[in-house]
Amino acid sequence: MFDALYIGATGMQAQQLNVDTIANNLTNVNTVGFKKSRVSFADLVTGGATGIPDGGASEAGPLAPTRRLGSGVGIARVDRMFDLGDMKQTGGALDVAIQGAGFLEVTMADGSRAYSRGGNLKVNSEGQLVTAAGQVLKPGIQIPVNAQNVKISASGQVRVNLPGQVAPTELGQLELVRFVSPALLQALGDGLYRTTDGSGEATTSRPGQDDAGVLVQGAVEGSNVKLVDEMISLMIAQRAYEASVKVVQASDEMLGMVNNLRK
Amino acid sequence: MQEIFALTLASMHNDMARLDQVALNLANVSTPGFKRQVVAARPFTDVLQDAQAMQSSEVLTDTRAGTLRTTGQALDVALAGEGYFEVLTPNGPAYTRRGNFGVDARGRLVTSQGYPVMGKGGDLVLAGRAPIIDGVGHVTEAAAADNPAPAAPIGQLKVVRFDQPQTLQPLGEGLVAAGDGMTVLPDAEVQLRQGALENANVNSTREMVDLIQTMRHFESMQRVLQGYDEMIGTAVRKLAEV
Repeated sequence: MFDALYIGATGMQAQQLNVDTIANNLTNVNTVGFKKSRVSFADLVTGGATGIPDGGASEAGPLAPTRRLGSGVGIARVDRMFDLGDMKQTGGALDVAIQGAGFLEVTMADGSRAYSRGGNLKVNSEGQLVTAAGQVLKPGIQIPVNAQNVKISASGQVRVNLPGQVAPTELGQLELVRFVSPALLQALGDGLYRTTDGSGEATTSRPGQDDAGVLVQGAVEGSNVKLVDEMISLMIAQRAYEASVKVVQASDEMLGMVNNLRK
Repeated sequence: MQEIFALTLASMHNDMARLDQVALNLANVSTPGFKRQVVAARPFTDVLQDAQAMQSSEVLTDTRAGTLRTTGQALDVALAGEGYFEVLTPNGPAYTRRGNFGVDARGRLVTSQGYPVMGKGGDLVLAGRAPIIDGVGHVTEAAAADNPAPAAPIGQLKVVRFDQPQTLQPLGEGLVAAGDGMTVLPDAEVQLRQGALENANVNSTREMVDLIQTMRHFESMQRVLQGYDEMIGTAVRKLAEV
């Protein structure tokens, strides 16, 4: 009956999601390897939000004197931004950051594959190199109990010193994978991502090749959230929400006036 | 005497339509590339003369450019001057000023809805590396750090203009249908900025003033109607007393 009410409601819903996303970004400002998200808004038009031309159909007639075009705002999609965060030196032998666009492949508990941006790796009880949340890296690296001085080179070779041997022993080679469209990866939490139809399949390469990036031992990647940007986005989102609230209030008052036409 | 009812009714409908536009503009205050829409009312006499037009008002698009906002994302492209990007939807080509592009699973440059963005020679296929887009739309793939080969050209974004951009029909999601007099902009007139997005050209102060104005006008029309209703009521009663 009264479009402005619903248009205002879509504005409020969209800004609500925007505030949720900003809140999530802000909460994770100190999370290692966190990638911020961004909401893409899209205006909606009556007659289909899929970009279908409606042939200029308008509700012509004395009771609908104006072509109604808008039906509010919607969410096109929520993108994850994979620009690099700042490298932080930690000195930890198993802290690995990826300087570049690549991901480390891990095996989930259910056998499926997921992808991680590295971080605080560790060695589990079976001697395997795992992520901070315990997923085994693929290809697996088995680190002997008596190994000392783990070295991970920029190109992904893992070497350790075994007692009684002067020369370091090579344990394996870490690989990196890349995606055509990482923005459409699905986040699983714990800094892990899964492929979707939109992201494309993973292509494997060795660190340092095909722009996958190089590994940096003794460092972690900070989150790529920029506090100032997020605060400004938050203010804008809050004010935009407020504006839609005012529209809803105004529509409500006008409806009240309509009902009071007859005293 | 009934024409006063008809007049106020039409006027109140106009106000409601105007409020819808204010609501739409305010809801899209943070939609990149959004162009505010305005209701242009016409005097009733004009409507009478132009028998073809059933509508006493029409919706026009305010095509003034919005300000640019820096995002730093390689796939965000803003048009600093006039013009539209061409995208290919399942229903044929459409045009947009919203430059928050992405890459799909096949590596094509697409809009946030997944429609491919057209270059002068068709689809723009990226190899997965952040591209460099210059001021006139040449897209080049940045050379890999370990590869001494120079940057590989991929194509050039197609930017078109229309003779009457105000009357282009919006299709939603920032897209507009093709209008009359489409020409491809020559390089000299294209102004692109990579890493930026165009803000909506909605000014919330103006929209709020419009909102107040619309409400008060609606209110006064309501009073007119009530007053007229009372007049008729009195007339009916008094005449009956005689």
